[in-house]
Amino acid sequence: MSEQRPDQPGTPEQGGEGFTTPSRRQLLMGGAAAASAIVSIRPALANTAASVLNCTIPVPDQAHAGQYIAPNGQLVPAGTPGAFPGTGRTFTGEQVKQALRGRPLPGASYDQNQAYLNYIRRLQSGTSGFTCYASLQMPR
Amino acid sequence: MTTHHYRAQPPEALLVRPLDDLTLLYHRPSGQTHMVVSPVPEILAALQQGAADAATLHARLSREFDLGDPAQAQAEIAAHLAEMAALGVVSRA
Repeated sequence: MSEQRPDQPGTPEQGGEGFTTPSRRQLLMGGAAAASAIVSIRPALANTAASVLNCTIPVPDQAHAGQYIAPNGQLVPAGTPGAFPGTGRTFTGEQVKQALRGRPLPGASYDQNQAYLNYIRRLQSGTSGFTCYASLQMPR
Repeated sequence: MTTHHYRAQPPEALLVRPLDDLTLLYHRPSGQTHMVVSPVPEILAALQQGAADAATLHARLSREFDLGDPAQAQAEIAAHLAEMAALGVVSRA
């Protein structure tokens, strides 16, 4: 019963709340520090970070957990000779970016690293991690 | 200056939840949650009208908001768009 109704639409409301408020109001602008408008929360981690490279890429994605990753990056049945088990973890955009420049992914041997990177390169739209990988390709 | 066009993500890819002054964006493809403040939610809403570059978005937002100096506002919108695209919450058109 204590709810307030905006029954005077013509009155300029002080500090109109809600993004559908029709009244004109100052739009806050972050200025050069655009990053200040976005803080990203890493899944499964309590801490927060404001870096755009904190998006994550699971290897493999959850739908294929348990499958192995062949050296060419293809998903193959678990136990396939020459293929590597999934990492059971995600890599951050920053880690993948560094790996694409030659620094191995954390915890991966040379051959594993190549297989995982090939998997990431083959990510397609709709697969978890694709957007993150795609964002790494964008010039900044 | 290079002009990029951006488009909104399909509705199923981005969950938007306003919480007082903050808005939470859950980006399904990456599984990431982003806490955003103005003007990010407003830019996202304006993109719902169709793909646009910073100048077009500025025109759309100007109908509802006082944006101050147009050149500065456009540059800021462009910077926000670039960051939003890097996170995947909008796409380059």
